[in-house]
Amino acid sequence: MRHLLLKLLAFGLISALTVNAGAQEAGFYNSPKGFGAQLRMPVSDGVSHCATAMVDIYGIPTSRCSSPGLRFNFSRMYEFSRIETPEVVYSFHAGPGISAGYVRDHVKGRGFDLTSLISENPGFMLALSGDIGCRFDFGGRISLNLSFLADIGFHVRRDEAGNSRAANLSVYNNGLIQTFYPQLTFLYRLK
Amino acid sequence: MRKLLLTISLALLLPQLAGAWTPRFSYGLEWGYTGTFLKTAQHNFICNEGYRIIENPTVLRYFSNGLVMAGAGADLGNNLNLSVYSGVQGIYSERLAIPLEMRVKWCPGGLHADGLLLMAGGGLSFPVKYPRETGFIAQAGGGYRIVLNRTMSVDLTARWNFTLDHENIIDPDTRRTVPRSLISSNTAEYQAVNLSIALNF
Repeated sequence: MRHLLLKLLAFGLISALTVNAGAQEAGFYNSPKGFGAQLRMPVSDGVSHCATAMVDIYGIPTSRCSSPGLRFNFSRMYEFSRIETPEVVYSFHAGPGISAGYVRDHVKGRGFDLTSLISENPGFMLALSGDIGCRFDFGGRISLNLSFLADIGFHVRRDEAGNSRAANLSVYNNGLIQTFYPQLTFLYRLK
Repeated sequence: MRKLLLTISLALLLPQLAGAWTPRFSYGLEWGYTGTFLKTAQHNFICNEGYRIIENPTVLRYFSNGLVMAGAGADLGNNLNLSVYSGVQGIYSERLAIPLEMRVKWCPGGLHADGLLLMAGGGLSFPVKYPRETGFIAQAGGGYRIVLNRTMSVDLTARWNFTLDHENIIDPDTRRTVPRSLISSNTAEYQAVNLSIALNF
Protein backbone atom coordinates (compact mmCIF):
# COMPACT_ATOMS: atom_id res chain seq x y z
CA MET A 1 0.00 0.00 0.00
CA ARG A 2 2.87 2.36 0.90
CA HIS A 3 4.51 1.61 -2.47
CA LEU A 4 1.27 2.42 -4.26
CA LEU A 5 0.87 5.71 -2.41
CA LEU A 6 4.45 6.69 -3.22
CA LYS A 7 3.89 5.92 -6.88
CA LEU A 8 0.64 7.88 -6.99
CA LEU A 9 2.39 10.80 -5.33
CA ALA A 10 5.20 10.64 -7.89
CA PHE A 11 2.68 10.55 -10.75
CA GLY A 12 0.79 13.50 -9.29
CA LEU A 13 3.92 15.60 -8.79
CA ILE A 14 5.22 14.95 -12.27
CA SER A 15 1.83 15.64 -13.82
CA ALA A 16 1.47 18.93 -11.95
CA LEU A 17 4.99 20.03 -12.90
CA THR A 18 4.63 19.23 -16.57
CA VAL A 19 1.15 20.71 -16.92
CA ASN A 20 2.59 23.94 -15.56
CA ALA A 21 5.41 23.61 -18.07
CA GLY A 22 2.87 23.92 -20.89
CA ALA A 23 1.77 20.38 -21.69
CA GLN A 24 -0.48 20.24 -24.71
CA GLU A 25 -1.55 16.62 -24.47
CA ALA A 26 -2.00 14.10 -21.68
CA GLY A 27 -1.92 10.43 -22.49
CA PHE A 28 -2.56 6.95 -21.18
CA TYR A 29 0.46 4.77 -21.96
CA ASN A 30 -0.12 1.05 -22.69
CA SER A 31 2.54 -1.51 -23.44
CA PRO A 32 3.56 -5.06 -22.54
CA LYS A 33 6.31 -3.17 -20.63
CA GLY A 34 3.77 -1.54 -18.32
CA PHE A 35 1.18 1.18 -17.95
CA GLY A 36 1.44 4.84 -17.19
CA ALA A 37 0.82 8.46 -17.96
CA GLN A 38 2.37 10.62 -20.63
CA LEU A 39 2.56 14.35 -21.27
CA ARG A 40 3.56 16.07 -24.49
CA MET A 41 4.85 19.59 -24.84
CA PRO A 42 5.37 21.19 -28.23
CA VAL A 43 8.60 23.15 -28.55
CA SER A 44 8.44 24.38 -32.10
CA ASP A 45 7.03 23.20 -35.41
CA GLY A 46 7.77 19.49 -35.74
CA VAL A 47 9.72 19.21 -32.47
CA SER A 48 8.17 18.20 -29.16
CA HIS A 49 9.08 16.91 -25.72
CA CYS A 50 7.43 13.87 -24.21
CA ALA A 51 7.51 12.82 -20.53
CA THR A 52 6.34 9.35 -19.49
CA ALA A 53 5.90 7.89 -16.01
CA MET A 54 5.01 4.21 -15.96
CA VAL A 55 4.75 1.19 -13.71
CA ASP A 56 7.06 -1.49 -15.01
CA ILE A 57 5.27 -4.86 -14.89
CA TYR A 58 8.30 -6.98 -15.77
CA GLY A 59 8.03 -10.28 -13.86
CA ILE A 60 4.43 -9.81 -12.75
CA PRO A 61 2.59 -11.74 -15.50
CA THR A 62 5.00 -14.63 -14.96
CA SER A 63 4.42 -14.51 -11.17
CA ARG A 64 8.10 -13.83 -10.56
CA CYS A 65 7.27 -10.89 -8.34
CA SER A 66 4.17 -9.15 -7.08
CA SER A 67 5.11 -5.47 -6.87
CA PRO A 68 5.83 -3.45 -10.02
CA GLY A 69 8.78 -1.16 -10.68
CA LEU A 70 8.62 2.49 -11.61
CA ARG A 71 10.17 4.01 -14.71
CA PHE A 72 10.44 7.51 -16.16
CA ASN A 73 11.40 8.66 -19.61
CA PHE A 74 11.92 12.05 -21.15
CA SER A 75 12.30 12.25 -24.94
CA ARG A 76 12.76 14.92 -27.55
CA MET A 77 10.96 13.99 -30.73
CA TYR A 78 11.56 15.21 -34.26
CA GLU A 79 8.89 14.76 -36.87
CA PHE A 80 10.57 13.49 -40.03
CA SER A 81 7.63 12.60 -42.23
CA ARG A 82 3.95 13.39 -42.51
CA ILE A 83 1.18 11.79 -44.57
CA GLU A 84 -2.21 13.44 -44.66
CA THR A 85 -5.39 11.63 -45.67
CA PRO A 86 -8.97 12.88 -45.26
CA GLU A 87 -9.45 10.47 -42.31
CA VAL A 88 -6.09 10.39 -40.53
CA VAL A 89 -2.89 12.40 -40.39
CA TYR A 90 0.12 10.13 -39.88
CA SER A 91 3.19 11.84 -38.47
CA PHE A 92 6.35 9.82 -38.05
CA HIS A 93 8.78 10.87 -35.36
CA ALA A 94 12.07 9.80 -33.79
CA GLY A 95 14.36 11.18 -31.17
CA PRO A 96 16.69 10.68 -28.24
CA GLY A 97 15.83 10.70 -24.57
CA ILE A 98 16.77 9.66 -21.09
CA SER A 99 15.25 6.93 -18.89
CA ALA A 100 15.54 6.30 -15.18
CA GLY A 101 13.75 4.14 -12.69
CA TYR A 102 13.63 1.50 -10.00
CA VAL A 103 12.95 -1.73 -11.90
CA ARG A 104 13.74 -5.42 -12.14
CA ASP A 105 15.94 -6.66 -14.93
CA HIS A 106 16.18 -9.79 -17.02
CA VAL A 107 19.02 -11.90 -15.68
CA LYS A 108 20.76 -14.13 -18.09
CA GLY A 109 20.95 -17.56 -16.56
CA ARG A 110 23.68 -20.07 -17.23
CA GLY A 111 21.69 -22.87 -18.83
CA PHE A 112 18.71 -23.80 -16.73
CA ASP A 113 19.60 -21.55 -13.84
CA LEU A 114 16.60 -21.27 -11.52
CA THR A 115 18.33 -18.84 -9.19
CA SER A 116 18.67 -16.28 -11.96
CA LEU A 117 15.20 -16.90 -13.35
CA ILE A 118 13.36 -16.32 -10.12
CA SER A 119 15.71 -13.87 -8.44
CA GLU A 120 14.25 -10.70 -7.01
CA ASN A 121 16.62 -8.06 -8.28
CA PRO A 122 15.05 -4.62 -8.15
CA GLY A 123 17.57 -1.88 -8.70
CA PHE A 124 18.17 1.55 -10.10
CA MET A 125 18.32 1.98 -13.84
CA LEU A 126 19.71 4.90 -15.83
CA ALA A 127 19.80 4.85 -19.61
CA LEU A 128 19.91 6.83 -22.82
CA SER A 129 16.92 6.07 -24.98
CA GLY A 130 15.97 6.15 -28.63
CA ASP A 131 12.36 6.40 -29.68
CA ILE A 132 10.72 5.92 -33.07
CA GLY A 133 7.03 5.95 -33.80
CA CYS A 134 3.97 7.16 -35.60
CA ARG A 135 1.21 9.40 -34.41
CA PHE A 136 -2.34 8.96 -35.73
CA ASP A 137 -4.29 12.20 -35.59
CA PHE A 138 -8.01 11.84 -36.29
CA GLY A 139 -8.87 15.52 -36.02
CA GLY A 140 -10.63 15.18 -32.68
CA ARG A 141 -9.43 15.54 -29.10
CA ILE A 142 -8.12 11.97 -29.00
CA SER A 143 -5.19 10.75 -31.05
CA LEU A 144 -3.09 7.59 -30.92
CA ASN A 145 0.64 7.15 -30.85
CA LEU A 146 2.40 3.87 -31.62
CA SER A 147 6.10 3.77 -30.87
CA PHE A 148 9.12 1.62 -30.03
CA LEU A 149 11.78 2.61 -27.54
CA ALA A 150 15.22 1.22 -26.80
CA ASP A 151 17.14 1.95 -23.60
CA ILE A 152 20.92 1.62 -23.48
CA GLY A 153 22.10 1.94 -19.92
CA PHE A 154 22.98 0.19 -16.71
CA HIS A 155 21.24 -1.40 -13.74
CA VAL A 156 22.61 -1.21 -10.20
CA ARG A 157 21.25 -3.62 -7.60
CA ARG A 158 22.14 -5.40 -4.41
CA ASP A 159 24.18 -8.56 -4.67
CA GLU A 160 21.66 -11.31 -5.48
CA ALA A 161 23.49 -14.01 -3.56
CA GLY A 162 23.09 -11.77 -0.53
CA ASN A 163 26.51 -12.63 0.84
CA SER A 164 28.02 -9.20 0.55
CA ARG A 165 26.93 -5.59 0.79
CA ALA A 166 28.50 -4.81 -2.54
CA ALA A 167 26.30 -3.66 -5.43
CA ASN A 168 26.04 -5.42 -8.76
CA LEU A 169 26.35 -3.33 -11.88
CA SER A 170 25.34 -4.63 -15.29
CA VAL A 171 23.94 -3.56 -18.62
CA TYR A 172 20.18 -2.97 -18.38
CA ASN A 173 19.17 -6.01 -20.46
CA ASN A 174 15.45 -5.25 -20.63
CA GLY A 175 16.18 -1.91 -22.25
CA LEU A 176 17.30 -3.77 -25.36
CA ILE A 177 15.17 -6.94 -25.05
CA GLN A 178 11.96 -4.89 -24.83
CA THR A 179 12.80 -2.67 -27.80
CA PHE A 180 10.21 -4.37 -29.99
CA TYR A 181 7.44 -4.28 -27.40
CA PRO A 182 4.88 -1.89 -28.92
CA GLN A 183 3.89 1.18 -26.94
CA LEU A 184 0.42 2.52 -27.64
CA THR A 185 -0.58 5.83 -26.10
CA PHE A 186 -4.04 7.36 -26.13
CA LEU A 187 -3.42 11.11 -26.19
CA TYR A 188 -5.98 13.66 -25.06
CA ARG A 189 -5.59 17.23 -26.28
CA LEU A 190 -5.71 19.61 -23.32
CA LYS A 191 -5.64 22.91 -25.18
CA MET B 1 -35.21 -30.71 -50.43
CA ARG B 2 -37.17 -28.24 -52.55
CA LYS B 3 -38.47 -26.57 -49.38
CA LEU B 4 -34.95 -26.29 -47.99
CA LEU B 5 -33.67 -24.71 -51.21
CA LEU B 6 -36.56 -22.28 -51.17
CA THR B 7 -35.88 -21.33 -47.57
CA ILE B 8 -32.16 -20.76 -48.27
CA SER B 9 -32.94 -18.69 -51.36
CA LEU B 10 -35.42 -16.60 -49.43
CA ALA B 11 -32.98 -16.11 -46.56
CA LEU B 12 -30.33 -14.96 -49.02
CA LEU B 13 -32.68 -12.82 -51.05
CA LEU B 14 -34.65 -11.12 -48.30
CA PRO B 15 -31.88 -8.81 -47.10
CA GLN B 16 -31.20 -7.85 -50.73
CA LEU B 17 -34.88 -7.15 -51.29
CA ALA B 18 -35.14 -5.19 -48.07
CA GLY B 19 -32.11 -3.27 -49.30
CA ALA B 20 -31.76 -1.00 -46.30
CA TRP B 21 -29.82 -3.17 -43.90
CA THR B 22 -26.44 -4.72 -44.53
CA PRO B 23 -24.25 -5.69 -41.58
CA ARG B 24 -21.03 -3.76 -41.09
CA PHE B 25 -18.21 -5.96 -39.87
CA SER B 26 -16.26 -4.77 -36.85
CA TYR B 27 -13.00 -5.85 -35.24
CA GLY B 28 -11.66 -5.11 -31.81
CA LEU B 29 -8.61 -5.33 -29.59
CA GLU B 30 -8.99 -5.15 -25.85
CA TRP B 31 -6.74 -5.26 -22.81
CA GLY B 32 -7.38 -4.58 -19.18
CA TYR B 33 -6.99 -5.21 -15.50
CA THR B 34 -9.04 -7.71 -13.51
CA GLY B 35 -9.23 -7.58 -9.72
CA THR B 36 -10.66 -10.82 -8.34
CA PHE B 37 -11.96 -10.33 -4.81
CA LEU B 38 -14.12 -13.35 -3.95
CA LYS B 39 -13.81 -17.08 -4.48
CA THR B 40 -16.46 -19.60 -3.48
CA ALA B 41 -15.90 -23.31 -4.08
CA GLN B 42 -17.73 -26.60 -3.66
CA HIS B 43 -15.62 -29.70 -3.12
CA ASN B 44 -16.95 -33.22 -2.61
CA PHE B 45 -14.31 -35.95 -2.75
CA ILE B 46 -12.96 -39.07 -1.08
CA CYS B 47 -9.64 -38.44 0.62
CA ASN B 48 -6.66 -40.74 1.00
CA GLU B 49 -7.93 -42.06 4.35
CA GLY B 50 -11.10 -43.28 2.65
CA TYR B 51 -13.73 -40.94 4.01
CA ARG B 52 -15.69 -38.32 2.13
CA ILE B 53 -14.89 -34.63 2.51
CA ILE B 54 -17.53 -32.05 1.66
CA GLU B 55 -16.34 -28.46 1.94
CA ASN B 56 -17.58 -25.13 0.64
CA PRO B 57 -14.80 -22.62 1.27
CA THR B 58 -15.36 -18.90 0.75
CA VAL B 59 -12.15 -16.95 0.27
CA LEU B 60 -12.23 -13.16 0.39
CA ARG B 61 -8.82 -12.33 -1.04
CA TYR B 62 -7.78 -9.83 -3.68
CA PHE B 63 -5.89 -11.03 -6.73
CA SER B 64 -4.71 -8.92 -9.67
CA ASN B 65 -4.90 -10.33 -13.16
CA GLY B 66 -5.04 -9.11 -16.71
CA LEU B 67 -6.65 -9.84 -20.02
CA VAL B 68 -5.74 -9.39 -23.67
CA MET B 69 -8.40 -10.20 -26.24
CA ALA B 70 -9.23 -9.78 -29.89
CA GLY B 71 -12.61 -10.03 -31.48
CA ALA B 72 -14.69 -9.81 -34.60
CA GLY B 73 -18.37 -9.16 -35.10
CA ALA B 74 -21.00 -7.08 -36.81
CA ASP B 75 -23.02 -3.94 -36.15
CA LEU B 76 -26.69 -4.90 -36.03
CA GLY B 77 -28.36 -1.60 -36.71
CA ASN B 78 -27.24 1.76 -35.37
CA ASN B 79 -27.01 0.93 -31.67
CA LEU B 80 -26.13 -2.74 -31.30
CA ASN B 81 -22.94 -4.67 -31.92
CA LEU B 82 -22.55 -8.42 -31.59
CA SER B 83 -19.01 -9.83 -31.46
CA VAL B 84 -17.04 -12.94 -30.61
CA TYR B 85 -13.93 -12.37 -28.51
CA SER B 86 -11.03 -14.61 -27.59
CA GLY B 87 -7.57 -14.21 -26.07
CA VAL B 88 -5.90 -14.82 -22.75
CA GLN B 89 -7.44 -14.08 -19.39
CA GLY B 90 -6.06 -14.49 -15.87
CA ILE B 91 -8.62 -16.03 -13.53
CA TYR B 92 -6.84 -16.48 -10.22
CA SER B 93 -3.42 -17.13 -8.76
CA GLU B 94 -1.44 -18.97 -11.46
CA ARG B 95 -4.64 -19.81 -13.31
CA LEU B 96 -4.86 -18.74 -16.94
CA ALA B 97 -7.60 -19.49 -19.42
CA ILE B 98 -8.41 -18.95 -23.08
CA PRO B 99 -11.93 -17.50 -23.19
CA LEU B 100 -14.35 -17.73 -26.09
CA GLU B 101 -17.03 -15.18 -25.53
CA MET B 102 -20.08 -13.75 -27.25
CA ARG B 103 -20.49 -10.07 -26.44
CA VAL B 104 -23.28 -7.57 -26.98
CA LYS B 105 -22.56 -3.84 -26.90
CA TRP B 106 -25.35 -1.32 -26.85
CA CYS B 107 -24.77 2.38 -27.39
CA PRO B 108 -27.98 4.38 -26.81
CA GLY B 109 -26.54 7.37 -28.66
CA GLY B 110 -25.38 5.32 -31.65
CA LEU B 111 -22.37 3.11 -32.30
CA HIS B 112 -20.57 5.87 -34.17
CA ALA B 113 -20.98 8.68 -31.66
CA ASP B 114 -19.31 9.59 -28.36
CA GLY B 115 -21.40 8.46 -25.42
CA LEU B 116 -22.59 5.83 -23.01
CA LEU B 117 -21.90 2.18 -23.72
CA LEU B 118 -23.53 -0.82 -22.05
CA MET B 119 -22.29 -4.32 -22.55
CA ALA B 120 -22.87 -7.92 -21.55
CA GLY B 121 -21.20 -11.13 -22.53
CA GLY B 122 -20.90 -14.78 -21.82
CA GLY B 123 -19.09 -17.83 -23.02
CA LEU B 124 -16.67 -20.61 -22.30
CA SER B 125 -13.18 -20.57 -20.82
CA PHE B 126 -10.56 -23.18 -21.56
CA PRO B 127 -7.93 -23.36 -18.78
CA VAL B 128 -4.33 -23.88 -19.85
CA LYS B 129 -3.38 -25.89 -16.75
CA TYR B 130 -4.78 -28.89 -14.85
CA PRO B 131 -7.73 -29.26 -14.24
CA ARG B 132 -8.60 -28.47 -17.82
CA GLU B 133 -12.36 -28.86 -17.59
CA THR B 134 -14.11 -26.14 -19.56
CA GLY B 135 -15.38 -23.26 -17.45
CA PHE B 136 -17.99 -20.60 -17.95
CA ILE B 137 -17.59 -16.82 -17.97
CA ALA B 138 -20.13 -14.02 -17.82
CA GLN B 139 -19.77 -10.27 -17.57
CA ALA B 140 -21.84 -7.13 -17.57
CA GLY B 141 -20.95 -3.48 -17.32
CA GLY B 142 -20.72 -0.18 -19.02
CA GLY B 143 -18.48 2.65 -19.97
CA TYR B 144 -17.86 5.40 -22.45
CA ARG B 145 -17.20 5.25 -26.17
CA ILE B 146 -14.95 7.83 -27.83
CA VAL B 147 -15.12 7.97 -31.60
CA LEU B 148 -11.80 8.62 -33.33
CA ASN B 149 -12.95 8.73 -36.94
CA ARG B 150 -15.52 7.15 -39.25
CA THR B 151 -14.30 3.61 -38.58
CA MET B 152 -12.35 3.68 -35.31
CA SER B 153 -13.42 4.12 -31.70
CA VAL B 154 -12.08 3.59 -28.19
CA ASP B 155 -14.15 2.03 -25.38
CA LEU B 156 -13.32 2.63 -21.73
CA THR B 157 -15.28 0.13 -19.66
CA ALA B 158 -15.78 -1.06 -16.09
CA ARG B 159 -17.58 -4.34 -15.57
CA TRP B 160 -18.33 -7.15 -13.22
CA ASN B 161 -16.87 -10.54 -14.16
CA PHE B 162 -18.10 -13.94 -13.07
CA THR B 163 -16.09 -17.08 -13.76
CA LEU B 164 -17.10 -20.66 -13.07
CA ASP B 165 -14.01 -22.82 -12.95
CA HIS B 166 -12.61 -26.04 -11.45
CA GLU B 167 -9.84 -26.35 -8.89
CA ASN B 168 -6.90 -28.57 -8.24
CA ILE B 169 -8.15 -30.29 -5.04
CA ILE B 170 -5.33 -31.18 -2.65
CA ASP B 171 -5.69 -34.11 -0.27
CA PRO B 172 -5.33 -32.77 3.33
CA ASP B 173 -3.23 -35.77 4.43
CA THR B 174 -0.92 -36.51 1.53
CA ARG B 175 -0.79 -32.91 0.14
CA ARG B 176 -1.17 -34.44 -3.31
CA THR B 177 -3.73 -33.82 -6.03
CA VAL B 178 -6.90 -35.89 -5.54
CA PRO B 179 -7.45 -38.11 -8.62
CA ARG B 180 -10.47 -37.27 -10.74
CA SER B 181 -12.06 -40.67 -10.07
CA LEU B 182 -12.44 -39.79 -6.36
CA ILE B 183 -14.07 -36.40 -6.94
CA SER B 184 -17.87 -36.08 -6.99
CA SER B 185 -18.06 -32.33 -7.37
CA ASN B 186 -15.46 -29.64 -7.96
CA THR B 187 -16.49 -26.12 -8.83
CA ALA B 188 -15.11 -22.70 -8.01
CA GLU B 189 -16.76 -19.35 -8.71
CA TYR B 190 -14.81 -16.12 -8.91
CA GLN B 191 -16.21 -12.61 -8.68
CA ALA B 192 -14.10 -9.83 -10.12
CA VAL B 193 -14.10 -6.24 -11.27
CA ASN B 194 -12.56 -5.43 -14.61
CA LEU B 195 -11.28 -2.16 -16.07
CA SER B 196 -10.57 -2.33 -19.78
CA ILE B 197 -9.64 -0.27 -22.75
CA ALA B 198 -10.67 -1.41 -26.22
CA LEU B 199 -9.86 -0.27 -29.70
CA ASN B 200 -12.57 -0.93 -32.30
CA PHE B 201 -12.07 -0.65 -36.02
